[in-house]
Amino acid sequence: MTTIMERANALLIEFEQNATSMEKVTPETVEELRIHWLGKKGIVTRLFEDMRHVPNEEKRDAGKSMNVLKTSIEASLEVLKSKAADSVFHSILNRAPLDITLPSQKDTLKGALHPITLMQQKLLKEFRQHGFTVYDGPETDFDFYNFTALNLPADHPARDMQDTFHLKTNQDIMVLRTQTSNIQIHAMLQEKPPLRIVAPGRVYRVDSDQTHTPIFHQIEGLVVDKKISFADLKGMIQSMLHSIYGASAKTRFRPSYFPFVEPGAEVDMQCTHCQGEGCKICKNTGWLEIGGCGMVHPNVFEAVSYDSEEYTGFAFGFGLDRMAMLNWQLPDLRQLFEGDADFQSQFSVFAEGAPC
Amino acid sequence: MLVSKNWLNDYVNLDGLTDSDLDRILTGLGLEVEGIKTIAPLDDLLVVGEILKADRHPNADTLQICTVSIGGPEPLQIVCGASNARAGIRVVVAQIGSLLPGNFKIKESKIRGEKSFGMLCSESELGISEASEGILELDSTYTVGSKINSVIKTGDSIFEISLTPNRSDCNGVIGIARDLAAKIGKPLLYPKSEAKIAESFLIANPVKVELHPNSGCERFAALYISDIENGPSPRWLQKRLETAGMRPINLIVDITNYVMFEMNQPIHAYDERQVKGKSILVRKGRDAEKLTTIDKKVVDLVSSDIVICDAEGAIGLAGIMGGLNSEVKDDTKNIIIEIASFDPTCVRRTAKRNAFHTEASHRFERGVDIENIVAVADRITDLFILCSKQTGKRHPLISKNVLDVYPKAIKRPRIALRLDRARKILGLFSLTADTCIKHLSALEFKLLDRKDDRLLFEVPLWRVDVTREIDLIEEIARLESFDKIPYRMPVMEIAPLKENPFIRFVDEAKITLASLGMTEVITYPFTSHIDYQNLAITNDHPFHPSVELSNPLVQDHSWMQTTGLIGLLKATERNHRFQRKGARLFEFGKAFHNFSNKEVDFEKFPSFRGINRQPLHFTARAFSEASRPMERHLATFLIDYPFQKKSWAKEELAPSFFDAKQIVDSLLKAFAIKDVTFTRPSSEELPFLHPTASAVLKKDSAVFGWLGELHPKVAHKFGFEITQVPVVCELDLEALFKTASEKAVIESETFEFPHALRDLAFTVDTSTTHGDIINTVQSFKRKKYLESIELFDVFSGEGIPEGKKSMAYSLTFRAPGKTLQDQDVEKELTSFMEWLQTSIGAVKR
Repeated sequence: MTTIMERANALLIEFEQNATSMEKVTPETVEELRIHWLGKKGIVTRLFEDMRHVPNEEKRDAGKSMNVLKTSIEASLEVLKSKAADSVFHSILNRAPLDITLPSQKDTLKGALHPITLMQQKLLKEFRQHGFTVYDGPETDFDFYNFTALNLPADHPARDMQDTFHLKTNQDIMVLRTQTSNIQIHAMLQEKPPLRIVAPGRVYRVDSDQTHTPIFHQIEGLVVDKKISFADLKGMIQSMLHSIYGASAKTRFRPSYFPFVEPGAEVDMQCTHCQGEGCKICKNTGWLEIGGCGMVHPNVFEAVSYDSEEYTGFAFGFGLDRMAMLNWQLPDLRQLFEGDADFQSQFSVFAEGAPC
Repeated sequence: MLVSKNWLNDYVNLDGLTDSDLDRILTGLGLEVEGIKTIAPLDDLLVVGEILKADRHPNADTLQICTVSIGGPEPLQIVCGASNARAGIRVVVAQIGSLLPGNFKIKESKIRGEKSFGMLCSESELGISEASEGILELDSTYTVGSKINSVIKTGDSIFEISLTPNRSDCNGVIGIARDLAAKIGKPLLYPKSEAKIAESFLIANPVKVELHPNSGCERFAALYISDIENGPSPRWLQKRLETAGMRPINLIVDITNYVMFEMNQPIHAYDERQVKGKSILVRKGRDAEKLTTIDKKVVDLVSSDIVICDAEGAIGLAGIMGGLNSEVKDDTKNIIIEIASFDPTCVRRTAKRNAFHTEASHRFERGVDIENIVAVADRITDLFILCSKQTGKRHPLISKNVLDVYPKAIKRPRIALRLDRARKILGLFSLTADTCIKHLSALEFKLLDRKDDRLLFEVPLWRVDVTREIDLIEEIARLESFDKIPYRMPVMEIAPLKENPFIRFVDEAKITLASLGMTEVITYPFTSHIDYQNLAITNDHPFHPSVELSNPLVQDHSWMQTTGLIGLLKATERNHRFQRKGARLFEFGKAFHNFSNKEVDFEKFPSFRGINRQPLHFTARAFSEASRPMERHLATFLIDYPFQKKSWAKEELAPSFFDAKQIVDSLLKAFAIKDVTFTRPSSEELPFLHPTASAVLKKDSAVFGWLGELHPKVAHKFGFEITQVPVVCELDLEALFKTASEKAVIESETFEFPHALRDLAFTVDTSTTHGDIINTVQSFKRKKYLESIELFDVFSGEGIPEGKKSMAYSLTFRAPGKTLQDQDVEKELTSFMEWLQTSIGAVKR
């Protein structure tokens, strides 16, 4: 009768023969080999079971040789496993090479926001950082909010400045708002001073050519408090333009007329393309018109029952479409409203920097 | 407003100011210069010459050989075709080498065998006017040999000023000059009055004027001038009118136009022969009364029109245009001149109603200076006398007095200016009272009183825009320059108002859709009834439009949209025409409804009950809002054909209902909106979608929107190929927002332990839906660890009994705070399968 020791030695030789005669060394064949020798019903496992028949005085040596057998097999299996892995790596790495110039899938999953949305988000982010609250208001509105309360009474020639869409109504005159300034009235009728709001939105005018479309977009601002001055207006607008166009952006305020502000001004920014030298974009003037602004007219405060002696305020309105056109150098306003898939998909999902 | 620099220079000395200086100054005053047209001065080789001798050309009857002195030792021989070329007159000589307007260079030439060393010029050749009858004859006092530019001002710059409607005074050249003078600190030079008219030229004023009470005429002055030799006006006057963009007509009309441009006072001249009874009555129009205006338009008068009448009837539409019957003709000798002030509102309404926009109505609507009327009359008189002298015509006879009817004199307003108020408004604390007085006085505002820092000014009536203290402050800021006001940041200690979170929600929803690969577009929200017909939307449907424009840009744009679908379909159809297919477009817009205008039976359209509501974010309190249209915020998107383009790796795929559903689910997930059901609409509700590939999105009673494949007939109507139909979806943002307003809870604990996955396949009746299975999950009472189930296979056919289908789900089990044991999962899986069997008769496969 052979001893466990002798059997262990013989098995080790048998294993080595098994291992060296393997036809294919793959993770699967190595695993098969492991199960055959070390698995739950494997040869070595069964040998261990025979240990209980070994007399006590021999157990020590028998155990030793058993352990040698097991560790040797384990070590060999490790070597085989790594050899098997190498062959897998090899086969992966030696696949037929790709034609890396083949095109990717035609359906790119890049979305895009509209340039007006991007511009709006950029501005809202800045204004919120300056403590402004974003406000919203209706696009169909009573004449009162769009005109009368804004110091534009009926039959005022300044109404000719804006060709207005009227709604068919039975009684009160209703319009599609011609300016986001209607939100000034809504906000002041709803909130007590002081306030600091900004309101982006769509506006409508009866107009259509290369630089005019029946819809366009504005962003309105209104600040009312006890010590607000024209100097604050200049500072705020300049700071805003600096955050968008960089601190070198020069601004110019020149007198203009909007019935709901006095003094009223037009804001120009030094042309960002030619730095004021004069170019096609700024029509050789060196300046770009950004929007209108001014000190809230006391008549407007009175229309919403604010004390026009106690409170002063400034308001401004920028053209979002215009700013977008300048930003991306777009020649034709109408292009913004055609829904052209190729044109629109060029834009990004985020405004420069993170969205608000 | 077009204004010539030369003309301005008559009233304010502009020496030393270049065009760009003037541009900057005017724009800085709020008189925005939109463009400058320069008229180059004539070539310096053009000189004054004198014809010494004019002989017949030997070879041509119509030509003359002139010997012309230009001051040099040798006179020039010049061949000339003008019949008025004769010895003794001074003419314009273009010497060899000179360049005439139109890039015409004068060369030495031989005309019919005779040498010619230059050209004698006509007005048209000089670009002065269009008259080309003969050569220009110069004043005999001009020195022979001097440059033309030194004797007549030939160059000019025409400034195109974009006048804001408040500055009515600047509709006159003097008004602009006044602002300029005040700004550059020079005096304003009013036109000099001619010497007194000799007694022999004065006659009595035969005109009678009557103003009806409430006629709308505040002042009417009638000047009578007779024995006028009408004809062309002098060249300088014609030129001036041309710079202002007006065509010269005849002396009488030109003078009235000239003074209008100069002094911003419209003037009308009537042919005295046609003014019956030489009497003028100003009254309101009468019913059925008609007047034919000079432009031959028949106006039906109404009681708000102001009408000028003679003894028999209407002869003019006040403030707008004269009547054809009393028009000044070339042979007119005697005229009645109207210098009046009319109610701006009446003029504006009449002009608007009849689509008139004349130089006169433009000025009256904005306001003229009622005090100026007598000065205007004097200026007209002066010009008639001056022109008669200049053109060598008869001296006209002038009425001794101007008949001036001015029932209720208007007083100049008095406005107090508080210095501290001006400083506070402008933020310009260095402003002094003296500076304020200096600027306002320069504009001819009269300081009446000064107490400490309270200044009382009287405002001239030409400044109709100055009515309050704030207007004085604006004038000061304008003249001081806005550039002097510092840049400061507003000090605001208040906490910002609470923002309506809906506004951020909308922005986030936009970003979410874009990050899902969708492209945002903006289209016009204007639609027509045909669009709704094409969508198969009937008149009683809540989406039938109910907000109509009374003045649409084009007829197709008459109705405000009730769905964003139309805009997206049209944009996509356009994209198809441009071979741009497969776009995934979305638009955030508004639906406009007015359910007070429109009866809708919501019983028939139960899914849309919720759209008849008050707008979410907006509550106005100013006055009755009952008739305000409702504006519903929408997100509409469209997945065009093909969903997947054909490529070397993939087949072309049409978009399916589920592609849209995937976008919706992702959007809902982004806002943690759970348990939304997709239910089949009734056929009336969504007639524009495929009847069996469409759904309404609901959660409890709230309807979030709809989605589905476009109905092939609708697709066809909108110009799509019916095999290439897009999938569309529209969401009601306010309804979504109401549900999304709870913050999404971010679970972190459960993710520290692995979840267990099991697959389960079973057969059910063909009629059983995925929704039914979801319901069994919700009603599974012994649910402990089952977190979610996900369908990965549905099939019927081979191996599946008739009337049955196989559904296979992947089930996720998760236990917070621990690793699940196999036996726990197996136990729950068995129990869930039992539940499926009990509740819907599922049989495990």
